[in-house]
Amino acid sequence: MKKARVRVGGGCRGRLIYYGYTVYGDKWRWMDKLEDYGYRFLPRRDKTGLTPYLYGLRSALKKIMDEADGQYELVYYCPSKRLYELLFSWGDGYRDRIIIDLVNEVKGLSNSIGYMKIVKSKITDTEKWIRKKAEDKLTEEVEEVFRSCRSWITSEDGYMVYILDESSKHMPLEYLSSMAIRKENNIKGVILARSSGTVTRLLYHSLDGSKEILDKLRKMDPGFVSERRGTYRSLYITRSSIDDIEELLLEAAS
Amino acid sequence: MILEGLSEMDVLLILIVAPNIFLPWIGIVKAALTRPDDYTVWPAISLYYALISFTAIFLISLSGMLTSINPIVGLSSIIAFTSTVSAMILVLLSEKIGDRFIEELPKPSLQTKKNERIQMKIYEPYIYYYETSKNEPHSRPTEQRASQHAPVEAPSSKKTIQEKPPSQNTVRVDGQTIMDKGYMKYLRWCEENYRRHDRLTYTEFLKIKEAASKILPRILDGDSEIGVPELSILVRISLREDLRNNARWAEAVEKLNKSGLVSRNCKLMPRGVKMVKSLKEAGLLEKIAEQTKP
Repeated sequence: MKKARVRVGGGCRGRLIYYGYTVYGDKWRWMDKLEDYGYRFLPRRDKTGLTPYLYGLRSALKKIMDEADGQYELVYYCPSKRLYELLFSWGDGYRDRIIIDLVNEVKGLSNSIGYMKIVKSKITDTEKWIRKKAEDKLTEEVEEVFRSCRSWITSEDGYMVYILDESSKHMPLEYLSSMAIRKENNIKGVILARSSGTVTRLLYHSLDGSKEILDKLRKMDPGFVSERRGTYRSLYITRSSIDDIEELLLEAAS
Repeated sequence: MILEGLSEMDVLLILIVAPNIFLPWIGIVKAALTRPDDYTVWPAISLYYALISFTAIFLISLSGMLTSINPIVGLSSIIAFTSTVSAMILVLLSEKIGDRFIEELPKPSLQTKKNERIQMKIYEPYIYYYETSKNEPHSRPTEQRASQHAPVEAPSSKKTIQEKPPSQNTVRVDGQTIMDKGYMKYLRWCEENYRRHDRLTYTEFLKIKEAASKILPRILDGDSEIGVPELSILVRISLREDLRNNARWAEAVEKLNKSGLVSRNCKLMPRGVKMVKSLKEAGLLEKIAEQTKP
């Protein structure tokens, strides 16, 4: 029976989890090559310690399944005690739907490929390296989103406005706004706008809590649908097109 | 002493031939030293003279080699021939000198006839001359804008300028003389920065001016701080080029910042966004960006 070894690394930033994996063995020779990486936005902040590994393991098994020729003996080096117990008991005692589904998927895939051995292990340099690589790739993707969008500032040290395109659809506006605030210095906040089907969503993230531009926009916008105001972050939904919203923002800012 | 023994025909031939030894070089030196807006007639005179007498020189040189001709005539013909040919080679090799020769070719009498009325254009804001064949300007329909902004030149001074144009404020486009300080400033900048191939034509310049004037009324009029290089930097910033730490264009960024087009950190501000949108509508965004690209 041929052998395949899997190592998974990952981490989280708030509700965002990211992961990567390597596969090596008889068919896959290069241990130092990151096979693939990915990221997810979870609905809640809990269980972000386990889910990156489960998502990474599932992706690795899918890859092995696609490329394998015949039956394989899989070895997964599990770096977490909780994860080991979870996999060992096949999710017994867990009620979270995401975790149950993931464990079942892993079980199904591993049975199809051959036999999976779970080995207790400490977090090695390989896992750390995978985690770093996956994080870098995610940061690159976020930077690409900001590079490819139209951006301008409402005034000197004012609000940064980002008019996002379809390529960032899989990233929540909340996450992008926090990244934009981290990226820029000396700004009052950020305004992100993205077309989403028939409506345009606008996230207004103010660092000092002022909503001057949002108030002006609401008065001028004929396609206003709804808004949800928070102390710092407000979500604004309108039927106006994204270009119209940009024009209105220009008017409101000048 | 030298001229003894020469026939009248030989003297006549020498008089035709001899100026060709130095005349093309005068034209070349004048063309090389003068500024592009200073139109001198010397390149044209020397070129016409060289072209007309070139055939004669060639024939005399040929006949001198084939038949017995006075050695002085033959020698001067050969020297003139060599001089003219080498001058022509230089004209072909040097773009600047070549341009001046060719530009002057159709109108050698531009400055010789002082009393001749020179057809010229005077730039006025919101009055555009796209068709060079038509002498009547096309006024923009918005009367309000025309009344808001006074023309650059007063009517009385216009008349004086039409009679005797200041050479540093004129440029020749499609065979006509145009007076536009903004365009002259741009051409001077092109000369100083060795920009020859991606220059804006006057029509393109006017298109940009029209588009940009919607946002900043007196832009590109020669006295304005914002010129084509600054607009080019603005467009490059809008195309997501990072020019924050670029020392070469720091001054241009500062001027844009003063006009409220970009922030100190090289981010577009609302007025800058509107300007870029207006230029995009004119369809010249890429060409403007190329102006300052290395």
